[in-house]
Amino acid sequence: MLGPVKSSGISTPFPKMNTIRAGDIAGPTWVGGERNGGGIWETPSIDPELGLLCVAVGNPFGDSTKRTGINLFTDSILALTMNTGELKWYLQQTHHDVWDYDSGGPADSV
Amino acid sequence: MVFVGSGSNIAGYFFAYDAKTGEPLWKFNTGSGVFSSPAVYMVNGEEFVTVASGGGDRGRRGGDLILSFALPKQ
Amino acid sequence: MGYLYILNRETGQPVHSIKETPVPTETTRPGEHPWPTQPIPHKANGQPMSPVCPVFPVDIPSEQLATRKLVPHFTPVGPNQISAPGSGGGANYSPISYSPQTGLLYVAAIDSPQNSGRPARGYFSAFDPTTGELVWQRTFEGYRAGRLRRHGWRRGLCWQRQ
Repeated sequence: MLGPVKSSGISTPFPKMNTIRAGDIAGPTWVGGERNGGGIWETPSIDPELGLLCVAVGNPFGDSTKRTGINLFTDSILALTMNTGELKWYLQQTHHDVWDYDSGGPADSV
Repeated sequence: MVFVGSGSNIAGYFFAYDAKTGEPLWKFNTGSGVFSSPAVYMVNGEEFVTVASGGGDRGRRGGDLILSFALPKQ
Repeated sequence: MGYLYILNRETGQPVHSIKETPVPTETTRPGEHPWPTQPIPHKANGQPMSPVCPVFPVDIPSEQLATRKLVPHFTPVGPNQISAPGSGGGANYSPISYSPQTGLLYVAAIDSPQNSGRPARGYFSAFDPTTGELVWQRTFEGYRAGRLRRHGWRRGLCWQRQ
């Protein structure tokens, strides 16, 4: 979950974003009742030019037999627009993680 | 030049490698785990690299140092 | 999971291809449904990228091998396995660095296979993002940390990218 962040020196409420949410494309990727994990271990990186916030999301946990599916957005890099928190793109690096892999380092924008 | 740190039960090295070739250039045993990113700064034209050393979890030797090294003058 | 992903920052599309690659699916756990493929980044020449640390266990002491077996990357978890990179391994947690001077991406990683029976090892790699090629790789004793690319010796210009 991301909390409110300041942008451009003005305190702007930032929509909260659930990395393992029940709705939209993520919801159907958790079948069986279990939906856990998706923590953010590292400081996100920003791309001020594109106005993007890049977040690396950690692994799912809990009983893996109760979370059939790829389990979005665990083990993924998410790019959110800085002003609205809208999900611009994502890339999942491990599908249905049972190895405690995490999406480790934050993205570096070059 | 790139710097990277490490930590183990017996040492906590801070390494420098040639950025282009990976040739090891220098290392220093800080005594405890180097787990965070170093930073560089300049004072009166002299350059320094500084790093924290203290990581001791998972059975590794702990500590509480901040170390600063002067880079050789060009 | 042991790999470096190079993406277009605007679209999230990979610069070189990421291929859904078949992985082992045999499992002894009732009700488990392993995902049959995992996304492996490839190089410009179409070959898989080198991982940032071993994805198959290396240098395992013989005492461990007596009671456990080495398994390929992404094998569903089961009893008596030695697997890599391990839950404590891979590119945990350091940010990568980039140098506009060398044009290389630097990644620190940990080689700590699950049930290895030996100390962890650090891996430090330099990749060429234009090709996905591994340019050099060093190993050292101990875990990883954050790293810094120092830029511009002579001008004393230094910066750090997270």
